[in-house]
Amino acid sequence: MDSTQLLKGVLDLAVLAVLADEDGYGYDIVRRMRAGGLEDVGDASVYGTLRRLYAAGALTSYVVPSESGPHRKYYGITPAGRAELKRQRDDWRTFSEAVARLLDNTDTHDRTGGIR
Amino acid sequence: MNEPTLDVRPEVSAFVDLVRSRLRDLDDEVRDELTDGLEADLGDLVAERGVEALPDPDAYAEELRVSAGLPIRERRGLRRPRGSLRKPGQTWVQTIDAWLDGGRDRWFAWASAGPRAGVWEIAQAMRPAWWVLRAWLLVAAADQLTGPWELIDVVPQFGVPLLGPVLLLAATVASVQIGRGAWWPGTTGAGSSHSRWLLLAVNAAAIAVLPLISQAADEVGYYSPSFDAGYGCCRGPERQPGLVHDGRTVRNVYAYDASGHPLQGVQLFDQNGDPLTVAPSEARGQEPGGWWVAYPWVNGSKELWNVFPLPTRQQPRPARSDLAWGEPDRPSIDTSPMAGTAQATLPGDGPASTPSSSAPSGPTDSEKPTPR
Repeated sequence: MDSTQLLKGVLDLAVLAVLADEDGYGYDIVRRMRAGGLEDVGDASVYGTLRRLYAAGALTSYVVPSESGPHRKYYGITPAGRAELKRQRDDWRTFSEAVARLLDNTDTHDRTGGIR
Repeated sequence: MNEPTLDVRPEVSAFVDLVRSRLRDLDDEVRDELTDGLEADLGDLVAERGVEALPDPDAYAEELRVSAGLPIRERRGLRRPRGSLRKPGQTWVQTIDAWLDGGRDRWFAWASAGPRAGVWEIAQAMRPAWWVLRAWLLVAAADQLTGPWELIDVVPQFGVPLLGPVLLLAATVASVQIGRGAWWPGTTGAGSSHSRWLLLAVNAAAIAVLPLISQAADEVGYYSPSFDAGYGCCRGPERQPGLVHDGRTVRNVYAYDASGHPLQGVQLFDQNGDPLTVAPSEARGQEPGGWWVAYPWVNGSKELWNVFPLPTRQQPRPARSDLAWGEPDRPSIDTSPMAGTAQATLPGDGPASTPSSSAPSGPTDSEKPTPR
């Protein structure tokens, strides 16, 4: 399934969720999201989202210099970010349960030859 | 900021440069914020999945921009598929720009791949040299176009005092500022496209005149009056180039045979067989209304500065022209300082076989030595 469109709506939530436990840098966050099942997430989308959440005050960032390579930019979640995460998580649960219920109904109708 | 650091793969830094170039329209601060740390992240990506994993920079930049909530760039149709032909509603300006963008992208991709990347990096580091060179090339070409074609000076003369240096300075400053991106018309709308084309045309013109100028400029350091002037103060007589007589520069030599007739095409050598040459930079002089300039005899393409008298001509500027011999006022061997001179003999040989009456009269005639 092409989950790109779906991802767009929940990218903020997913990024905040990944950062809720532990700080991370760009590609590390992408990796964690993919490991969590969001295979189709695009790295540029994640980086853009990180910048936007940072600008909105939901994230902090700090640079970790590297001796042998380019510096890494780490992100961590702020209290405002945690509040946002909670709000979006609640919204998501409500929304996804509603969608799930709708789908269950459709499923039932399908099996009984109702809605096509 | 994206300071260049060690161990960034060239493919990665080239890719980041491409992405940054797609975000040029953003404020520096916003763009830096958006691309900060990108080298490290993309370095990881490449380390994990290889260079092939680097995506299309256009799409990547747009994805960054959109997900960061920044406005979508409208000009230059960067989100159109590459190589597309003109589409309905697309102006010719956009079509040409898209074509130029495509060419630039392909060039960057080609130049920053594999072993070429190192060369490309050096070339990029040398851009300031090109800014200065193109200013000089264009001013030098303008100098040539406004007068007869002549040898090039480091500082073009234009035949008017100070005009050359002032124009050269102004052109250099303008070229460098444009190169740095400090002086250029706005980055939106058709105006930026036109200025881009203009810059392309200027660069192409500078490259086009390069071979013409460089051919004539081979001898620049040697002939340039400014070069000479710079060293004139400190140059002792022993370091003075070319023929010197009693500490004074010899600019031309006139030879007469034993019977006192002027000679043409006399080749002079010293006791070691080294040619006795006049310094080309000295073989000219300023006079009211222009310069007299000596031109060398030649052997094939080799200039012979030890063959006398040197032909001369009057011209508005001190530089020698490659085409002087094809012009109506071609150099000529001017009148000797004396139409003739006294005849000369070796002691003991008696009078020369030529009667003295056949020797042209000259200022020294009255001092003619009498035969012993």
